[in-house]
Amino acid sequence: MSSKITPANTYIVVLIALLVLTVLTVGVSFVPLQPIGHVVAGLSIAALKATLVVLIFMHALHSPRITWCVIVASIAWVLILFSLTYADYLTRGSLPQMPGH
Amino acid sequence: MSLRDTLFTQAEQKALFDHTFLARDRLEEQYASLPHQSETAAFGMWVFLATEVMFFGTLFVAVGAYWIFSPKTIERASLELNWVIGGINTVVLLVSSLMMVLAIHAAQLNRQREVFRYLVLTAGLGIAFLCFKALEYYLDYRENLIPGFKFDDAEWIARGVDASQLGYVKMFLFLYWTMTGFHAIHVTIGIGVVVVMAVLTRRGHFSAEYYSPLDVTGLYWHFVDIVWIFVFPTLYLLGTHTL
Amino acid sequence: MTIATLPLPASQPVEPPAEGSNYLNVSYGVVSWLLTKDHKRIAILYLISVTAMFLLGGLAISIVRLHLMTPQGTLVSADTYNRLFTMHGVIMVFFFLVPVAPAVLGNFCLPLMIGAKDLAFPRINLLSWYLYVIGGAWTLFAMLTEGVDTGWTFYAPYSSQATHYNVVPTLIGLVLAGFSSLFTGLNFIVTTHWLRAPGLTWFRLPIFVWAMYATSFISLLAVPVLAMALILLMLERLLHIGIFDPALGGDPLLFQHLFWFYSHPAVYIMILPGMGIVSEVIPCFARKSLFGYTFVAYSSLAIAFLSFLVWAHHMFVAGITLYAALVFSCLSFLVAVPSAIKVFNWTATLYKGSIAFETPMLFCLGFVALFTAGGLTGLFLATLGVDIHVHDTYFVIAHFHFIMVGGMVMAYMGGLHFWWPKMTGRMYSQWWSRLAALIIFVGFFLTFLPQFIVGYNGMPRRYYQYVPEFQVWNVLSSAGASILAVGYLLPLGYLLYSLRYGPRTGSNPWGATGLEWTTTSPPPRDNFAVTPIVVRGPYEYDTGKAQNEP
Repeated sequence: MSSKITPANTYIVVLIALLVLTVLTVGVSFVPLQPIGHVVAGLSIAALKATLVVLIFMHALHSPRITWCVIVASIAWVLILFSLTYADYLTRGSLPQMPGH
Repeated sequence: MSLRDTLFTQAEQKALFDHTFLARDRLEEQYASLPHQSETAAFGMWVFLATEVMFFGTLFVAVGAYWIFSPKTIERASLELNWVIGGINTVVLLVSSLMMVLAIHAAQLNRQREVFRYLVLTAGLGIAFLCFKALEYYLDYRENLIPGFKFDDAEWIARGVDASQLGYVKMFLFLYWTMTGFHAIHVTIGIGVVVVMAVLTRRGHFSAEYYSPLDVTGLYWHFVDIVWIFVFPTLYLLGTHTL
Repeated sequence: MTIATLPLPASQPVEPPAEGSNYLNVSYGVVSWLLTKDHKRIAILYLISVTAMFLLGGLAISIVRLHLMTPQGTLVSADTYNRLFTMHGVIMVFFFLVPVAPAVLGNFCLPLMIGAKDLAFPRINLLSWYLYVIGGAWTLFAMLTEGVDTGWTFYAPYSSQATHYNVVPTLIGLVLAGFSSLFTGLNFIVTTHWLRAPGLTWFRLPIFVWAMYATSFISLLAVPVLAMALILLMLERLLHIGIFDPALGGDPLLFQHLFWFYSHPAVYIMILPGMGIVSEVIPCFARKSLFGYTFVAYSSLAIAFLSFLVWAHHMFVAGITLYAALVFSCLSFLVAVPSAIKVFNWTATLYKGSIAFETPMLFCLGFVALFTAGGLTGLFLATLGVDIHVHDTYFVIAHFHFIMVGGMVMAYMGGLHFWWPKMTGRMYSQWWSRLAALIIFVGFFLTFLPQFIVGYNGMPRRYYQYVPEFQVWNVLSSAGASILAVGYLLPLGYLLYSLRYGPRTGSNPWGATGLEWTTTSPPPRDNFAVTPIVVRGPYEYDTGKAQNEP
């Protein structure tokens, strides 16, 4: 909720952009890439689409700064979950394991 | 005191039946003003959505973990999922998001009938999503993609997956069902809420001065869309497709 | 638009509450309590349910400690033993320690401390209580009928494949309780951001509010991961896909990573409110402003942040890689720093203060000593080489009980005794309460100090038998447990007694400076007759004035 009202045309333009990105992401899946390539491409395009939805459809651009903090925190925390978990998974097989009893 | 008396003030109860309530009757004791209450409600939904990010994020971590174990196998498993329906569903949800935000836009401009129409379209597209999903689930059933229920080891060995890696295929498919299943549950809840909002709009419940529940519903609906935006490439687009 | 720029309402006529009307007597009847939107009544509802859970969890471990008096362990069978310690852990972690301070003291005090009339979302607050009660009932039913024998950590694949006990119903109850604490956390965060009284800037907030904020922050981000981990475990148990089963190619460590991603921050959910309570009580009974307020406030946030980076120190010997272990060990050392900063600041607050040994102060001083001792032993556990030897021994059990029982439960007792006059309008017997504090302190030492010794010497945890050399320590520990039990039952007696026969108190029996002490005891339904306007910091004991007195 805010005092600024975004014009309807902006929303329609954003939808067109999102549809184009969807076509792009499907198109890229036909390009022969390594598995990691598909993952990176897919997630990058998804991140771009999500950014558009968050900023414009969810009015994040017009929201108070504290809302931005919530958005940033949720992204940061899910990245913490990924990165520290994969600190274990990505080094398996290449490094010795801890001794156990 | 009845349940109805506790949850709704007298003014609210009266309003449900004679369509003439005033926006400021919605103001609760602990808030200084209606804009204060509306901003707080929106912020509350953002905080809830942060928790949902962590909820779905866990499933993505699981998929990623098994992808790290055996990228080729997971890639092969991903190729069997129906990307066409997945793609159609992506488009359906994106358009429904537009409908939702246009409903909010109409509310800001106090165009009650428009709000109602856009909410109905949002819910309708949500139902379309679920219908496509049901079709996809049926096709998955036909193609033996349900581990622990309808699954054919031999098919996968013929597709080039080593027998020792079959477990990973099953886990990937299990995570596919779990991820899309939870997402579908969230869509269903969203449709329910949007329908309720549409009914309330029809009864004159909202105005340009007070449309906070619509705003909050919109945030939830867009989030459900965002989850699918990430689910689609993570599950359906891991491998190289051929037409 | 920020809260500072939102328009104030046109002055509305304020109806003063009727003489003697407070939140307790404003309406009568069970329904008015069960359908209340009043945060104070919801806090009392929680107090009753949480206390019941505490007694049940205590009962379970009393049987365990009786059984452990002899090395051969003949009181209960191995199977029953496993179910008993599981029940103790599940109840104490999920249904006592996690909710107690936020749901009882936080619910009651937070709106009062910030000068608000209620939380941001009162109906969601009531929903939180119902989720807690239904989840608790569900889990208790599962554990009291057939039971669960996996330990409160539910490690796969034992919990998903091998055990034949009631895992799924227990987990359903836990997921419900998890959402209960998640919604409480959501309410607190939103309330703290948006409902502060005019003039109440962030750095004029009492540390208890900072602590509740940090606690809620952790809750919000950690609970969903646990919920999903438990759901996956339930699905695995029902469908046998093998996601956590190594025999089918799955990874049991995946469950542990997801489980501990919540459960380590959870221990900070448990302790942060205690630190908040201590930060209120010590300045009050030392008649001195909290030393290093800004440091204490920031260290609450630092604890919340760092708590998310250390979870795999529970998994050092589970099979993670050396690299991961090194990373988590380093980070675990780091997380001790903000806690230490707080201890230094509390100590500095006491220095040259005018100290009164009222009961809340006794409990909180006990907290500082025991939490510090327990925290130091955490450093041993963070050290990889030492952990290899003491993991899964009584050393770990003693470590976390020093922090949770010697720390958190003591702090909760301190907080309960501090705010009891505010919540009920009655004062309890000082003699009995000081006696209870002393008995708890003595009982605690006798129970848990021997456990460090046997743990260091190799006695494993979760075993129903042990070698005879350890018997003397186990007997001491069990004797201590019986003293501890007396110490915990005493408050039940004198606090309930005070409800009927205790002298009525005024609004500020302790001479404290927070906003909650400016309203009547018990407070009226809407907390304040007039919204307070805050003009000074939270601990200005040298001026002798409340926060909103000009």
